[in-house]
Amino acid sequence: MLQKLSARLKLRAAFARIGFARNQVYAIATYINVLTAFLFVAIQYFLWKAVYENSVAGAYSFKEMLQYVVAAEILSACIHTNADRQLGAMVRTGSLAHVMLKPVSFTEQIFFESLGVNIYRGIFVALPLLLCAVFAFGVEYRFGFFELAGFFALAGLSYVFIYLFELLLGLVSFFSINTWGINSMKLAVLTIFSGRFLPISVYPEQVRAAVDCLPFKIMYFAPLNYLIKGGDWAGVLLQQCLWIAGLFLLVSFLQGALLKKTVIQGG
Amino acid sequence: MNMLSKYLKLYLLAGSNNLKSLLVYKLDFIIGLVSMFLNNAMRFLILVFIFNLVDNIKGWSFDQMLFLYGFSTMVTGLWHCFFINVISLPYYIRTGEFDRFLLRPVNLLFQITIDSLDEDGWGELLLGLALVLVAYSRLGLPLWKLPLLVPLALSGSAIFIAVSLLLSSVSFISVGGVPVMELMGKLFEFTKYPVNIFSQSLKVILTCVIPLGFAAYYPGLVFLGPETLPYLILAPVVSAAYFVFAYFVWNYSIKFYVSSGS
Repeated sequence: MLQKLSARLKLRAAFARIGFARNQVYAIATYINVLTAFLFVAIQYFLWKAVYENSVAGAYSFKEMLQYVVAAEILSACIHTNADRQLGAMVRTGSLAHVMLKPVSFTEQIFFESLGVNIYRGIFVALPLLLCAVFAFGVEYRFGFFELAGFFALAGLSYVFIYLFELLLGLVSFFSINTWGINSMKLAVLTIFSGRFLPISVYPEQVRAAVDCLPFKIMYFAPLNYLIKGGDWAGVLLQQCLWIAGLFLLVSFLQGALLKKTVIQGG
Repeated sequence: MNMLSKYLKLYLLAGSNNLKSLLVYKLDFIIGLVSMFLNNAMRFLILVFIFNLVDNIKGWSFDQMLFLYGFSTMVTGLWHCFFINVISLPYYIRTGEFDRFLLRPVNLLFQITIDSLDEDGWGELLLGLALVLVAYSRLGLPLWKLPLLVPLALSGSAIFIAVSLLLSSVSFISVGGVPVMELMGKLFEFTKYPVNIFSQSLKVILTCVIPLGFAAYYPGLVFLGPETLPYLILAPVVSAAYFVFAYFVWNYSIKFYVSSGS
């Protein structure tokens, strides 16, 4: 039993290693990443400094706003599985056929391979961002142990939600071979409804009310707002779990129905 | 003169070929256009939300920011439509296609530029133009300045071409695989905001070292500022000079090119 489990884990770790290694080719890439990180934090720092020269009504202070926008960028560097793009490419090229022949389901392959990619990006993209923000621009990230642990739990659930959401979009590409439209919809949803660039609590009143009803805020806004502003941790957790359960049911239903009908396009 | 007509002919030929290959997939073309429009519009919405909190940023009103944002989007769109292939250089090097270009008796940069056109850029260009025109009428800017938009947008995109040339020079030295696209995205983002919000040192960098300020901010001052003439002369001159500089660097770094052999 134990042996079987460890063999299963090994197989999945191998997928993650593939994802990690694929990125780890050019050393110069790391320098470019550091430079990119610096530019991003610089733009945000000066933009928000200029904005907060006026008296700003709203839930976020200058310090908190900077914490939020930089943390959102850090999160976005290593939280996307791009399951939609991967699945779309598999359908388009027909490589789905041999992916399905492997003894691990294709959804798991995508998950673990992109986990490897995200660990790579966490170290080589997100970490430079964090260091840049803290040491070059004095963004304060000092949180208590429990706050951080709570944040990581919520961010972990966000990861799962985003994976399922992207998987759902990827499954749609079984219908439409063109994935552009789907991808642009995803970006639109992310930009406005998830709180990727701005905390939802500073949106104009009517927009905020509408966005609040949608589930997408649990991707970015929910974990980040908890980290910076605190609040009802258990409530957010419960909300995330409910949406994840719902999405999971939808995805597995669709997956089952679609795989029966799949026609591989030549390949 | 003979040379010029030859190149013009080539450009038209390649352009019509590219257009034909785009129109094979008509739906793709339209979806690409719409989605680029939508994505940029969403990013713009964030700016609208920011102005819901304050009524000016360092003395820039919403309408003025709208103009600058639109102008910058327009310039990015121009670059995206006609010159984005410059950054495909790592791809050409990796696949060995670059060797093919080297053998032809036509300017290298010209060949790369015309090798493919990008349809996504049109959405950006259209949105940018729409934002500029809306801002133009809301600000009540004088009509006689309107035709100046065209040459200034072209000169602005020359800055972008220069920046992308400089960045793609890196790929001669290290074969492909460099995430220049993200870096370029962040660099171009600087042009969406007024230069005067940045610190003194960044202002100097954006004006003199990497003159991204001349892509949108200084041309924008031709319309928004009290003084027209100095910026109207300065912007194209700086763009041209920077472009020539970047072109020389790019040409020089070809010397370091070693074929990947595939």
